[in-house]
Amino acid sequence: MKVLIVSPYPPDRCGIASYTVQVAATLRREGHDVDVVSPQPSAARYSADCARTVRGVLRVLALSRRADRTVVEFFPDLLFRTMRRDQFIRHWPAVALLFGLGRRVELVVHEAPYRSLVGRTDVRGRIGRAMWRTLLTLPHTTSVHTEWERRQLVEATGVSADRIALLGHGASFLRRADPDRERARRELGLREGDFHFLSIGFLQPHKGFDRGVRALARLGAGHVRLDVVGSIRVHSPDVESHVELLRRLAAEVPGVRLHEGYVSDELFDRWIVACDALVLPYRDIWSSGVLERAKLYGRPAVVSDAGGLGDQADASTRVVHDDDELAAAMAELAGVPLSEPALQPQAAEALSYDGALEIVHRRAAALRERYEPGTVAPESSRHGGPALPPPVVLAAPPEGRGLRAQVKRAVDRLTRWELAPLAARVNEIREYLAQQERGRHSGQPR
Amino acid sequence: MGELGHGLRDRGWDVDVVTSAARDLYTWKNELPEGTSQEDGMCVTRFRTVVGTDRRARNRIGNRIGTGAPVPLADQYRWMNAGVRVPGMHEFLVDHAGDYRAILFAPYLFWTTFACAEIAPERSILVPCLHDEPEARLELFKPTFEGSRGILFQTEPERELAGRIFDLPPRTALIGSGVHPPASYDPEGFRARHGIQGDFLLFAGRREWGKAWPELLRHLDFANSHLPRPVPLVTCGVGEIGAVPPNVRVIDVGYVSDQERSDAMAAATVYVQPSARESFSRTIMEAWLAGTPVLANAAGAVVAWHCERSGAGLPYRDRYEFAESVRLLLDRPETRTAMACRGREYVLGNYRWPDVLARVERAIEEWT
Repeated sequence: MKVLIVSPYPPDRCGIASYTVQVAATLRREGHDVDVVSPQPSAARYSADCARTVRGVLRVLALSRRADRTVVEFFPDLLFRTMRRDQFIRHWPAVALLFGLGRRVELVVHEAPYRSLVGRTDVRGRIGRAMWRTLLTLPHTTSVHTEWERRQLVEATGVSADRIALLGHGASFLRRADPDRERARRELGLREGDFHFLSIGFLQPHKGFDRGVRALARLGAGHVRLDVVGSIRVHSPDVESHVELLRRLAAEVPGVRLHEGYVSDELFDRWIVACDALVLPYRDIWSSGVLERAKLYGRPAVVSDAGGLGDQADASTRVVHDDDELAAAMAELAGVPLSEPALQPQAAEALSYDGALEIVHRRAAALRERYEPGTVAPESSRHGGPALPPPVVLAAPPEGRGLRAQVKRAVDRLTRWELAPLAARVNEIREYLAQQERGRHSGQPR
Repeated sequence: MGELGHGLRDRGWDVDVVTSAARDLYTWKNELPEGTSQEDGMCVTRFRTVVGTDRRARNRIGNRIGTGAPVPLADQYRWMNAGVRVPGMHEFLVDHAGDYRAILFAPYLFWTTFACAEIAPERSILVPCLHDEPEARLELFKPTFEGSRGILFQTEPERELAGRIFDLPPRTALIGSGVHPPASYDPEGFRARHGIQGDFLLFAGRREWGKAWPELLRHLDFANSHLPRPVPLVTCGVGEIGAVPPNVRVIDVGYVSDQERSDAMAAATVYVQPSARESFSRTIMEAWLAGTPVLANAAGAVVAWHCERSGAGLPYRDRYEFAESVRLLLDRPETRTAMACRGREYVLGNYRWPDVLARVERAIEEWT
């Protein structure tokens, strides 16, 4: 059978892309002919920007008509550029066309805007619910991963529960690491004899990894550890502030280590193999691939009751409802007593002057990058040193067909081979000067 | 990598090759047949290349990367995925990576390595061919370097550079790169075929900015204006010659066979390596094997390292050192000869294929 999957795909790094590559591999192993179409160019055979253009949706529809079956790994950004009412309404017919006329469309809902729909009784709300309900009923089948998500979908859109099937989240998951725990621990530098909790995934406020750190601080034993492993996926002030908090907590709480950096699929699994239990105190989630991977390797987990986590839980999973239960469950798993709270949940220390400046600068840089890409702030004269000019960036010539654009392109062709090395050299000198300046003020040897 | 594959096959390993159907690095046209075939005892599977259509974004982001300006991670992805992709190779490795004990990827900068090395990192061994360029510092490549099972470096400076940029995995090895000594050289034949008389400098490779071709012409222009007799520059390879300064005579012999290149190496008075972005520099090895001393850009850590270790090349830091090095090598044939002898010994002592293959074999056996 020829199957088309519509989804993000590697090398894009997100949970759904990782999920899809496993689904595709499983389908191929079952003998199906699988093609993937991703919103952006990727390792998928096709790409079509179906969130931004109707043409993109129609391209997916054309591909779908050539397949026997179409699986859409749905989250709103896949098919809608924004949830702004006018744009949603404008793009909705194309998506409905795809769901209605696509060949045997199977919609797998990973995320949906439940909260913005539920309880809306005004006209706009009713129209919005009806539009979403239509999208959910047009496909051949619609599935979610957990009973909680099914309830949310029914409540938010009014769709009949019978229309929504349950699809095991980990049904297609493959093991990607050697299940030898001793070897994994050795390779990751974990000490034998210690009890290792693990919180792993992208570092984001809604993951609540800080809750796990605070809970660990209440365990009265030195051999219990918590490794927080992950990286920032999207830089934003909220996320950066959260990671700053994690760094500070990791420095304060004995037994906690924060491993910031990219985590490959294999390394992800190796961490799971190496740990004794996972701590997933999410504040907000639909369903968790991490929990499924923990189950794949037989590792127990402590999870909050957010989203569909309760439905995903198996006998080895402890579902907790607040921070006290979280600490108690971790203590029970590690076989240690609970001590008095060491850190108050709202405790916040005053930042040092340099720490505050660093955060302000980093956030300002993110904003600057958004509005004036490629530029940097003039060097600070805080130390009395001369300010350095921003780096030299040669602008790309315009793409248009007009005379002006053509002349600019010609000039660019004539001069770039001379200007580019000049700009590079100027930037090297600038960087050298900046390093010298930093070294001079930090007292480091040059 | 082809030589490596053949060498490992000859030593009893089952070697499969997965590659693209393209032949030309610049156009990436699918010129070779897709699918699986037996070539020289190896199973070779070729996949169709897909060239991104968003050239505008790629150029815009690429320009910023080239200047060393900060580029957001999302744009780094966009830049990478807007280039050449080989989705079929990705799919093949997703399905079959488990069939292999080790998968070697090279070089780091290509999408095939970037996207595919992370499919089964527990068996991915990277042969990065890294050199100091702005792209090497992109956050995009951290997973490739830091997540692979191990990394095979060609030189110590390459490993040091990687260590400065990335948190390297615990398994790295120095393997060098193999060079085949030609059966014979015909320097006089080369001169006769191309009508070249007297001393000349040789540059073999891609004539492009990244290889410092324009800088070489400028340096030679300066040198020739100070030498008693201007020395011509013979070049073979691809790329535009571009604007030639008044004091420089360039003789382009075009794209030549391996044997012809070896003859050119033997006929040259001095081989010039102006590129500072080399991860190994096979051409200076070929020059030394052919008995020709080397003049190399000292800004290139790798070539400077080779020159210092071998005592067979003069590194130059600016046009003044360039000119004086040329003068010295032209004036002192005995010095040239002594340097050339040391160079040949250096290559034969360090970079013979059997030695390289033994190091690769040892790494695979220990790491996987």
